[in-house]
Amino acid sequence: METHLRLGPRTLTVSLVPEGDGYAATVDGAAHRVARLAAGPRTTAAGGATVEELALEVDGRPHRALVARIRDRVLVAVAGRVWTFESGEEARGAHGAAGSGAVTAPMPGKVAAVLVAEGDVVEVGQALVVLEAMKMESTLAAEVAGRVTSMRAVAGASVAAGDVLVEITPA
Amino acid sequence: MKTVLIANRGEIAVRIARACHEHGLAAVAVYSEADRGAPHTLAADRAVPIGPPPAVQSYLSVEALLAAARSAGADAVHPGYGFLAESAAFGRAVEAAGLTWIGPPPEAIATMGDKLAARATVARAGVPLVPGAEVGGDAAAAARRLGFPVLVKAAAGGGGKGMRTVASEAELPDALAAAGREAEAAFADGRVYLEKLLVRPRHVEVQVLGDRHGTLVHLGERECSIQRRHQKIIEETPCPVLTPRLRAEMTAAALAAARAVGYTSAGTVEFLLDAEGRFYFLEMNTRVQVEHPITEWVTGIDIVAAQLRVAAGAPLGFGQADVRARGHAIEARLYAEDPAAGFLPSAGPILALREPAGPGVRVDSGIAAGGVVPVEYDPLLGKISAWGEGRATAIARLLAALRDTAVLGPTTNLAFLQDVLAHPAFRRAETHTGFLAEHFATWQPGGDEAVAALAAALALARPATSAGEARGRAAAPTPWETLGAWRLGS
Repeated sequence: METHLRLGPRTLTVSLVPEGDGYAATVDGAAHRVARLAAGPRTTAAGGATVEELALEVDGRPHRALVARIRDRVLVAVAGRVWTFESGEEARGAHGAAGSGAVTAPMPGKVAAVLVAEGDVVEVGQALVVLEAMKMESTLAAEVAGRVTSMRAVAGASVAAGDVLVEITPA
Repeated sequence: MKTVLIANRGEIAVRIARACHEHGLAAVAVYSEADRGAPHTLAADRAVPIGPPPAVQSYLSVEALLAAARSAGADAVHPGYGFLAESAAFGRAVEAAGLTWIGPPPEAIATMGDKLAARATVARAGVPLVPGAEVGGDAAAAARRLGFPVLVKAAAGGGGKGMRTVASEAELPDALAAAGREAEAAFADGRVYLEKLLVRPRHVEVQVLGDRHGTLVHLGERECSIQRRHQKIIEETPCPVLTPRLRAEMTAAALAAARAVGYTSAGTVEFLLDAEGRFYFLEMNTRVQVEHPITEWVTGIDIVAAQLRVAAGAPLGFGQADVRARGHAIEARLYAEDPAAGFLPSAGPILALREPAGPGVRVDSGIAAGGVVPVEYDPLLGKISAWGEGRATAIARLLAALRDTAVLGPTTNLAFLQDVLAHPAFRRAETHTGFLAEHFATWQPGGDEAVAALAAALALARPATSAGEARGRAAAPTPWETLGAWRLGS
């Protein structure tokens, strides 16, 4: 069985072939010997997520994983670290090219200050908007150089996560 | 004093409810609409709704909190930390309503809460100050006199809010404006002042505890140099570099500062310590501190219980000679934030949670699986602390505990905390308030990606939800959903 897992800009290809009491596995071509040692019940969590605990052995070393699946996302906690993979069909294709000209609110909050105006030419990393969320100010910076073609952020206004605040047409 | 209203949320509200129960007091929780069914409401004997999610309409509303106290028959109020804990006006309002205020005298809060008044007061008591200046008139000239870099700080500040580092005169106007805005939003007081920025100082603070019968003791120091955005994320006690002589000087200065305002209850006097062993008063936090567990670890003194006793008018029950520290304790603060993206706060549902346990491990948690981290409040999820006979053991225990912890849902700083504790410079105790900026500015979460990918693939390969599981899902809501409905109907 082959699984495609998108991790940020990269896609990992994992294959599992049953062999003996475990699997002969590869992750992006690298071979591993894997066994499922134990699996807890699969429970339902908030938003229709499913959660399960897995004990697995990878190349002779035991690991304890907590896995949550929600829609196409697979969140895995192992050894105090968390990975968020995207599975499903879209994981095959590269999408979400880095450095978009649309600057979105990463979380709900309030616009504390607007630092550039429509028509301004901005550099990569230039501060555009100050957002106040969870009692702290965060600065949203330009990911691409170009001209500000739309400024939708208004100081004092509340914004939702994902709202497009600024649009930059790359130079 | 029989029933304590806890005017707070999250892990500290859970902590206070436990202390109340241990001492035969009833605990009343309050909650905003964003916190219905949250762990702190379940830790209390009763939970009272106080308003909509925005803090100004709930946890910061004196009117709503006093109404909740009346309706629940509470005769005392514990403010926790943050929110109204350092509001002298709230303390006075509680007392005016005929209730017991579990905290220092409101006058002491007012003096220490105004950083400018605090500096003047402790200077008169002989406590050394960081050189500073008021901003009235020509701020640039004042900053030049101090010499760059300078720090812009909120007069009403605390917790790193309304604070900005300014390296050069060109940055000053923006920093003054931003700090003023943040201070206005956080404290409804936009006044700021300047302080000389010391080079590579350590943050060392002294815990004090006083009763109304003239006893005032210190419980030793904590080093809290590991900070981001001027907020602590790792704290330890004792401070690895304090000599007995320096400890005696700093604790004496802390007691002098506390005495200067007639302090009672629990409080913390914060200092900066430079490489030459000179220390300077920073501010006094007139409340229980987030990092109080590490002092409890080494002294065996329950600080929240002491607050309850003192508020009830009882003597502390011990003197300075009875306070002895043993071993080493370290705390890590678990925040919903992304250290790889400028510590941007994170929020949303907690899909799964595993909390650690083990010898010498303590968890102060304010979250539960099935709960939600609201966007409205500080993103502190909980604190994990560890004790050991020595510093190396405490670090090892805390690292193991963090490794055993799992939070799925919001992004957290869990991996970051482990990497800081494991860093050679941290192990050598070469810490200062710029430690994270120096060593972790370009941090990325590492780890064994292949193992995680294999675990994901195994979970995906597992047979689809069985008929039994599907039935279970339809018929049996999670305990959390059940509790939510029960709370709605109660």
